[in-house]
Amino acid sequence: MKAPLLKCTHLCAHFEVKNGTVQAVDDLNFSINRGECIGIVGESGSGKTQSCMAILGLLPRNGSATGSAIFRGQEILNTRRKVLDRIRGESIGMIFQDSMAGLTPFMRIGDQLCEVLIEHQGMSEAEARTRVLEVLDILQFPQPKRRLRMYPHELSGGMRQRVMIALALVCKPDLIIADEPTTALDITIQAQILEFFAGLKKHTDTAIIMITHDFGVAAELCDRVIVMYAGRMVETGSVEDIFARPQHPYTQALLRATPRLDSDLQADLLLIPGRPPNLQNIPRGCSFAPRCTQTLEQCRLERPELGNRFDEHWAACFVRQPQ
Amino acid sequence: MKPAILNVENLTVHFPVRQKNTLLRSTMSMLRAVDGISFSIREGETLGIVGESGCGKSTLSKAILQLIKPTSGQVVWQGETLNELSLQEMDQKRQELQIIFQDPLSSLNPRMTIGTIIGEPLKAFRPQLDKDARTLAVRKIMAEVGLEPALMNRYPHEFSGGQCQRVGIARAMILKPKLVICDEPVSALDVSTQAQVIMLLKKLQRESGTAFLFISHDLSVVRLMCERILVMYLGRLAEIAERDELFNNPRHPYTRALLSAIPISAPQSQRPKRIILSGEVPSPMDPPAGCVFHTRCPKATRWCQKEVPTLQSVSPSHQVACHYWKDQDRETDGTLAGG
Repeated sequence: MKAPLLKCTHLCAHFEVKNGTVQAVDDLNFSINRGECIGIVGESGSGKTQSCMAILGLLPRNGSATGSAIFRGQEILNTRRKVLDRIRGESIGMIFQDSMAGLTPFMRIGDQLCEVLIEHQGMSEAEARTRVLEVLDILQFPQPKRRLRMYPHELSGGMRQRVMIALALVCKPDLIIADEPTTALDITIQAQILEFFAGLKKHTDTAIIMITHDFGVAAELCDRVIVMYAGRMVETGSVEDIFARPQHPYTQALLRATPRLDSDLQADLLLIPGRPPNLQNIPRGCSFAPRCTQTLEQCRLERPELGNRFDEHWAACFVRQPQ
Repeated sequence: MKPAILNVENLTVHFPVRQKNTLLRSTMSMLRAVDGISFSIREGETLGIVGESGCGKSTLSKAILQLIKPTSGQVVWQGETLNELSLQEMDQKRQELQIIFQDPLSSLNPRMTIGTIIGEPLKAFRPQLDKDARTLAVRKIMAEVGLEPALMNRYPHEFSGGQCQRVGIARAMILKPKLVICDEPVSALDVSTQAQVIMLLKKLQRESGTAFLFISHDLSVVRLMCERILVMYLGRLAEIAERDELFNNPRHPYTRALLSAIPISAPQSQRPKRIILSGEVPSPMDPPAGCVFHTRCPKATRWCQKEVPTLQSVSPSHQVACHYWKDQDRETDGTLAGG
């Protein structure tokens, strides 16, 4: 079998804060192949974003990452700045959630887009401009020539998000990490962007890691889904199985707490009692145990490891779901 | 059928905007935030307003509360025209009309305790109550919205987003208002907290008999909460209908596109074909002539570019502003079954 494009093993990220350590990501293992799309789903604070920040060496000063992340056969976790600079932008494109914060406010967007190509691929300005226009055209960016002279604040949110995506795409990266790329957008614009990602997936072999809190977005695009809770992976499997036969009580609860267009109007949404644990002080056993309705005694004492359920489906829970 | 308590008639809100043309010359132009909207809310009913950002949902709700002066049109609250009242008279009406804001934390005063915040409306409108009676009422409403009454001496920053939203709800409900406007009350919340707040609002809906005006961009949330739904686009009313009718038989192409744009948590095979709208919402400073939706409408013709569609009745409870509502193909392209 071919080696995966990116393979993360025992990936951890923690932050030193005034009164202790925040364990944001705890022992994450996954790999992604070319042309594959993985969704990382979870609520805020579950460590979805920080795990990707750790891979790209973008953790803030008080953060540190351990474990290993092998990209195209090369260890990139905590590697030299120079190596990372080559990989970031050129081989791994990152799309941030907040498009205003992701763009330099005092640079014309044309210059920002061309800079990537001039810097990474040694193109001349004219070549870079042609390539940028090509990418913007694929993204159905209206009036690209005129807009390249604009500053980020002059564009609408949907337009800025397209610039962010173009920024990640111009160098034809092998892997794109998209952090909630549509969360801040309107629903019709979200549909346009999702349509674009679907096309990208179909026509190129770019791998995509899609970070989202919306199961709908994951269902739309992803082949596999990783569900995270309190910094840990609690379940992973194919997108069909995650929806049809979720194994972890947290996944089941989340799915039943999400309003759907086809849900029964008389039935109530499921309420998940309590709140996620404080990441400075994660309980000893399963971190979901205090909110779980199916706890065994074991759950509070021991931390469940990921166990294989069927095919390629894994869940970290002591309770075996009936098939 | 219950009587209407709120009638909004041809409500228009325009903001004058100064545009610099050259260094010394500038011109005034109009931003048409809300452009001739009429609807009514019945006693105890929940009406949903759906639309994308910038379509005027929030401006509309603020104009109803007279927090923004309408440019023209009328807001009739139980027979009284609110935009003709003096400030003092309007202040008295505010005990019947309350609002819950989108951002739970920024709508609470950080220097006041939760108990004071929730009790503030009582202080303003029920001066006959003494401190003990107020505390008692605050404890009661806190328990009702699922907040531990013992927390009343804490400050907003000590609470999570969901809890802050509960505080906002308690503050709005403590005077037993007749209408509560909820401006995107769950948009800023995580899935599990969102479910809690939705279920709380549903409980209050059942128990209090209060009417709600529920503003949201999320159609699956609106479907759970609302009996009737109004769809807005660029300051205009596109379609208004009862819930099941709107979801099963949408007549406006924009409503159809909105419904089909929702990502569905189901494997790919079960998904209906999606209508992708091209482009973005035009600027309300310079709305397109004719039907405002024609620049993005997959079915637009030259007629749509010229003439503004009037509101037409599909049935007594279903109105739509589209020239071609009759010709929308009957097969279920993009529309969703069920409901």
